[in-house]
Amino acid sequence: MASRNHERGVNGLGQQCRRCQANESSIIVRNEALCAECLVKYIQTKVIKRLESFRVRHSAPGRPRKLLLPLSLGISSLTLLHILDGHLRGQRSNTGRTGYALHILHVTTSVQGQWAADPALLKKVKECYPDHVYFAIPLASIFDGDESNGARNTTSAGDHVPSSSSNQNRLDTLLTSLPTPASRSDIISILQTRLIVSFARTAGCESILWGDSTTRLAEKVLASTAKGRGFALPWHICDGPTPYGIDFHYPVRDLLKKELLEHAPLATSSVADIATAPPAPPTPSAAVNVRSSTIDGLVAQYFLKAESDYPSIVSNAVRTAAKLEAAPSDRWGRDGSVCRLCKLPVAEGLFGVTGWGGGRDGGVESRGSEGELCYGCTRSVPRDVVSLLP
Amino acid sequence: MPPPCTRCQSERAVIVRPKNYDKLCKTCFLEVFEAEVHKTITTNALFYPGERVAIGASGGKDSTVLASVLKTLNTRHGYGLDLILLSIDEGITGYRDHSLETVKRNAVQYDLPLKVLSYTELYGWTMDQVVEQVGKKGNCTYCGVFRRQALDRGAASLGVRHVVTGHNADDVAETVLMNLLRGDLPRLSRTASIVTSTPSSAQTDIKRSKPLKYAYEKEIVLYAHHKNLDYFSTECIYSPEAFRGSARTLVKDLERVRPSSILDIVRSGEDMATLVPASVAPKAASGRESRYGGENVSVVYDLDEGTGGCGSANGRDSGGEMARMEHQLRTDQNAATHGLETEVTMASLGTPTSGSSIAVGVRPSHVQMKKANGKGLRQQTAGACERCGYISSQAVCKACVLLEGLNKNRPKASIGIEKTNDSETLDKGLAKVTLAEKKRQQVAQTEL
Repeated sequence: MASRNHERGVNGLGQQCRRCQANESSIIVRNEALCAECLVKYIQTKVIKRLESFRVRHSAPGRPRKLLLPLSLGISSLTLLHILDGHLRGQRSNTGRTGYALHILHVTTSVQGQWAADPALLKKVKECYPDHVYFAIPLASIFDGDESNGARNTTSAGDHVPSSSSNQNRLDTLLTSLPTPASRSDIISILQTRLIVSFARTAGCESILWGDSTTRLAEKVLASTAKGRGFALPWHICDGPTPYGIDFHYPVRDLLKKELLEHAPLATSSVADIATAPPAPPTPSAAVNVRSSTIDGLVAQYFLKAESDYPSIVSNAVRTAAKLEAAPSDRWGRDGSVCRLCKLPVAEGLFGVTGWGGGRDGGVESRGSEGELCYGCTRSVPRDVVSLLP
Repeated sequence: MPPPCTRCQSERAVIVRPKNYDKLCKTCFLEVFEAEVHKTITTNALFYPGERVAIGASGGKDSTVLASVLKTLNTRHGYGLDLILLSIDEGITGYRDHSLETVKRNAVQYDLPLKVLSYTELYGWTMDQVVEQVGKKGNCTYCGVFRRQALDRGAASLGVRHVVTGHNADDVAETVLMNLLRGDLPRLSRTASIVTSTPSSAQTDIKRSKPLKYAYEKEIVLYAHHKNLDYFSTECIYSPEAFRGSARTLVKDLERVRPSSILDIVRSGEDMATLVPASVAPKAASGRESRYGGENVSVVYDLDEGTGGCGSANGRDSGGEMARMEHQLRTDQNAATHGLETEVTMASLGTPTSGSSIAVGVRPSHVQMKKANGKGLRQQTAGACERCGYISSQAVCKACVLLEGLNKNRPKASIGIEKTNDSETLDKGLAKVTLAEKKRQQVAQTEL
């Protein structure tokens, strides 16, 4: 806090913008007083710099590379869409073609207690950015047996197609069988990732462009660690290939959430209109309420504060964690050593929570008896619920 | 009517295990706790028969429980260990003087020999004097650095090559989160290791291990309570580091949401240690075998001269440490963005590649780092301090650097009444002599 006030004192809002030296500054971004125009430029540059490999010259004429952008309708993914839309226009006007084409996917999660975006918003987005292909699929379609058929349940018009009611029932049964809100939140995000991945692969996309901001990635670093999913951290935060057989990219990784929030109203289009509609992430009360708290919520709350007081520490934590190297495939263990739920490779086939140094109760070791889930998934899903999993 | 113990089914359950909510009777809880520590010891082959092992004893709950459990297991399972209590007197009035009394009683209760080594003897400074000079902020750095060396030196003087400490699962979890927060991969790669060691090339070749690594702090308290152990429960009076305090609060909150979180973080820490690039922590890269393999405990060279503090954090710090790091990171970032760095500095930062995730010029700067690595990653190499010979990745070890700073500001002649009757310690040169003297003694003893 002190340093922030100090900054204001020195840089002084309302003075000249530090970048263009012309306009009056209105916002302080990482030490610098910037004008609105320069902030917009700053945000764009940070994202587009991450997309070097998708420049026009890297794609064959007439066959733009297909990329999937999962759109939660939150501030980060909307900002990403907004910037990419501009990027593509730029490419088209400069070269007459584009380096890539966007598929936009919105997963509707109609689950009790879970925030769900209004499907009408997706229509609005489509009106603002009409050059892309839009899809919406319900989370429950994860139960469609053959996941690769997920794409069938959609229409290119972006209309919401309800999953069959039996799928929705199965999802509801699964989620209500989970013991805590922490488990539910964990499992929902895993199912979302799985659904998005399988959709992207079916649709022939070569990469998924996630909208995660620095702040969100920092949350993932700590939340994954706290859930015993540290082994999989690189696959959740690093750019590049994943065991899902598709590349992940995080073009918004160098921007803090608060920067996106400051940027939204300045962006010329209606990002702000739409993005203000979804509520801010639920902010739990100061005291930890065991019954309703989730690990994700707790960590989000932690970084909400850290981001405002120590933004550089947040960025530094993400940059450092991104240096972790995913376990090489020869360590993934024998064929089929993949978690039934999160579909990530389990090193040395070490499923479950008991077969390691800290996994003993009363000194009795029961290695390998826990079947098909990785450590993190075993913590979230009690044994008697495993049969309900898709 | 409380339910019966889920283990023996006969006694009344009086304890709900914080770790997994098992309901146990007192006898079963004590047995289970001991059995788990025993399993940790045997799986990791921590000891060999006849080994002389020093227990780093502070008089607090962790080391008291460790001493008690080790004494019990040593007898029960015939480890054949020669156990010694080793206590460091940091010289903190109102805290260490009282807790040392506890350690002395423990020595009698467990019938174990006790060796007390003081900062005054080793460094010519008590922590009280250090705080008087440097203030309350950052004094934990001094204490952490000094204690690490002190334990090694104490062990060496006892002819002991293995020091066990009372670090518990909460401590390890907290350190894992802390190292993630401050972006410290080399330490992240070591934190979760049960055994760390200083390399044999150095003067002191002391193995360190944490037999309570998987034990919950709450269960340690329960064990101490139900065993009626005599321990000292006051926390250190000086402030903890902010990063640790912040991580500690988070760990406690996470534990409340999901009790297994502490263990889950430890597990993540172990897994992530294997993901740290070899260029950052080459020695730790092979850590995994040790976890499941049993016999072959990986030796992780521990160059952690540490800004470590003592882990007694309870969140009172004003956040100065985080604010300092934040400031430094911003300055670095700013310099990198605007090319304000001089040529020399830029070169040492490595070549920025566009689109790469490697930080350019942004690193935690509270630690003196080697910048030679072309990838901009920090790598530590083991060497010896040119002044005292202690293991160090720098030319001069951290303790000597800190001592130099302290001694520089110490008046050459004191005015007023000094507690110490040894006026030599007032001389800035002689503090170093004291250290050198100690070193000679140790070398002599090692040779014996």
